[in-house]
Amino acid sequence: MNFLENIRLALSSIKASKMRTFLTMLGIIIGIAAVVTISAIGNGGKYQIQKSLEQFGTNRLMVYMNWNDQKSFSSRDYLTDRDVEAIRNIKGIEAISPIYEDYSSLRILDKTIDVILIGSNSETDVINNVEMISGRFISQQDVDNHNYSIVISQKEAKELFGQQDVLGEKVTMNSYVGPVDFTIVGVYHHEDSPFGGNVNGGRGQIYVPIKTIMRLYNQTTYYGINLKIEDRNEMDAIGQQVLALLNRLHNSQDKYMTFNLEEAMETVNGVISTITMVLAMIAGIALLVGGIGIMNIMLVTVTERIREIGVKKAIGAKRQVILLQFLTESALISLVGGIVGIVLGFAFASLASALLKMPPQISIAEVLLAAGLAIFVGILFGVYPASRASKLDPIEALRYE
Amino acid sequence: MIEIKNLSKIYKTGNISVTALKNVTLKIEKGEFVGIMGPSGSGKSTFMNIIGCLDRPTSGLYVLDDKTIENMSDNELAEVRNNKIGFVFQSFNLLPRTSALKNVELPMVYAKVSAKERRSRALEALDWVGLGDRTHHNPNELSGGQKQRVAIARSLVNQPAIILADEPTGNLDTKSGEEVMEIFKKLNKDGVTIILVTHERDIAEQSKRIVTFRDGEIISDELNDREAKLKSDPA
Ligand SMILES: Nc1ncnc2c1ncn2[C@@H]1O[C@H](COP(=O)(O)OP(=O)(O)OP(=O)(O)O)[C@@H](O)[C@H]1O
Ligand SMILES: [Mg+2]
Repeated sequence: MNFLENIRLALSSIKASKMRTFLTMLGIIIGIAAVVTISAIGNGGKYQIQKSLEQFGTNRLMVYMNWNDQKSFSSRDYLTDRDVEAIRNIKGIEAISPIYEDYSSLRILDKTIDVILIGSNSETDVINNVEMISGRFISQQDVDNHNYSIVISQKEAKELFGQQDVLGEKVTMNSYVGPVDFTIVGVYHHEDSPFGGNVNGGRGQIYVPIKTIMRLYNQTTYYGINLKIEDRNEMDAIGQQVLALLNRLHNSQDKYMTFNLEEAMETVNGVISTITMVLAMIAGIALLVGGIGIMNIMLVTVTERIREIGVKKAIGAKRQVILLQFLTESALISLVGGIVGIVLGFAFASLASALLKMPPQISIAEVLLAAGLAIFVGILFGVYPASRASKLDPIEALRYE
Repeated sequence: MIEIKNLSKIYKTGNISVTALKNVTLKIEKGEFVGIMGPSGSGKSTFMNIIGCLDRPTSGLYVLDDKTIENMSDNELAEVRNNKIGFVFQSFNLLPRTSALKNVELPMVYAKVSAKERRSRALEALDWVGLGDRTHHNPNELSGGQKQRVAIARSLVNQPAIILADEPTGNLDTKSGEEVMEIFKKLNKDGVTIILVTHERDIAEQSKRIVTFRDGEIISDELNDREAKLKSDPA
């Protein structure tokens, strides 16, 4: 008995009771749709975290003053250029940049936009994953000479100038000490945050030489330093070294801390994975119920066709022929249900993602897995009815009324 | 080719046991045309089912083509039913919602005949029973006589050595019954062994040998005089 013949038989039997088959399928459809939806949303969340991590900059370690201990700070505890140079000598550090950030706004003529001002040295672009479109990033010379250079993204360029080709243009920055003119030396690629435009109130980041801004505001110390580490496995070890070094230089204890965003994100990722798994398992229960529905309807089908089974056996059908016929039928019902479920699940996931403002993530592997799961359920719950059919005594089956 | 010795069949339902066959001994040679008669409940169908390898005896010996049926597995019996035996039932037993052609093809599906050959042999068989123009009709679109002829086409399509017919004319009018009997006679002429159960004397009269059952036992087994006469005196 060949495979195609079995499919044909299964189809004709399904056709003979469409409504019933559809209702049976519904269990599988709902189960698979739920599994697909949940895992797609879960993956979307993880993708989003990964994406924002990349935007933030990977292998990034932040050293900062322990704010819990703020009252005991004395002026000698603040971080200085001497600390920066000392840390730079630790092996395995790819880039280092002291932190100075502030809210500010840029203006040309009557147009003003709010921005986040980032004091940069020539390495900040490496740490922040800045991708230049035109011009250059802040250079060492800019820093040393206290130049009034500024790097903005193409988003700010468009908002201020209506175009991207803005190198050499001047913008006015509203600072605490009055308006200051900066010259645009570079434009970088702006990428929308995967969390939508609401982070930092939609402000874009602009880069100016750190020394320029600090002299403007009359500052000489920092409360944090950003590091990019060459090898991510070394991040903890290097973090410890940095803390030890700072404690030694400042002759202090527990005044500094490190923060590894990647590690924090991984924790969140783990939580999302767990939640997704638990939800998917609950959805799996729906699938189980669907499978029981298949078993139930297959038992009914077998009973209805007992005479037919008897006839087939009388003219020479072996056990496995009957077994395979009914297994094919249950597997087909659940496969079709599974495919509909996958399509529906994808639709639900897209809808949910649109509402949550994040991209749904469905991989081919998962689609195949879901389809395989559906067939598996069909076969698993089809085995009992099919084996009952195959073991029927031909005489009793022929005599059945 | 069929050899039966001291064959018994006892049905047990709860505490009650019914002896359907009692020490039946019989030999049927290749090419015979045997009519089986007897009152209702005398064990005719039980006997046919055992000969057809659909059922196993409680005790006794059944040898078919030098093979003892007792030692065969269910799958081996299925194979025997598929290629040595053709069944024709009183109630036709065609698959519903399945065309005459597909019904006739079915035994060949189990015999793993290729789709192309299946089709041509099924068409040939349907043509042979006079239904060449009804191949795509489903059973519910056929008359009783036509259904029985489809069933006969199905029974002979794997070229079995034996055709077993349990009251094949029981549900048919006289004319259709006659047509069916003509087909059996034609098959028998081609060398197929035919064993046929019937209640009707004049149907049994058309066979060459009549075996009569009563209460699970053979009470008579004789050559059919009329047939014998016809044979010895063809004029
Ligand atoms: N599955 C069964 N369980 C119990 N008893 C049975 C079973 N099948 C047949 N019998 C009994 O065995 C006896 C012979 O039955 P069988 O069907 O062989 O008779 P038959 O000669 O074919 O009768 P009929 O002419 O009415 O078809 C009957 O008494 C019947 O009740
Ligand atoms: Mg009977």
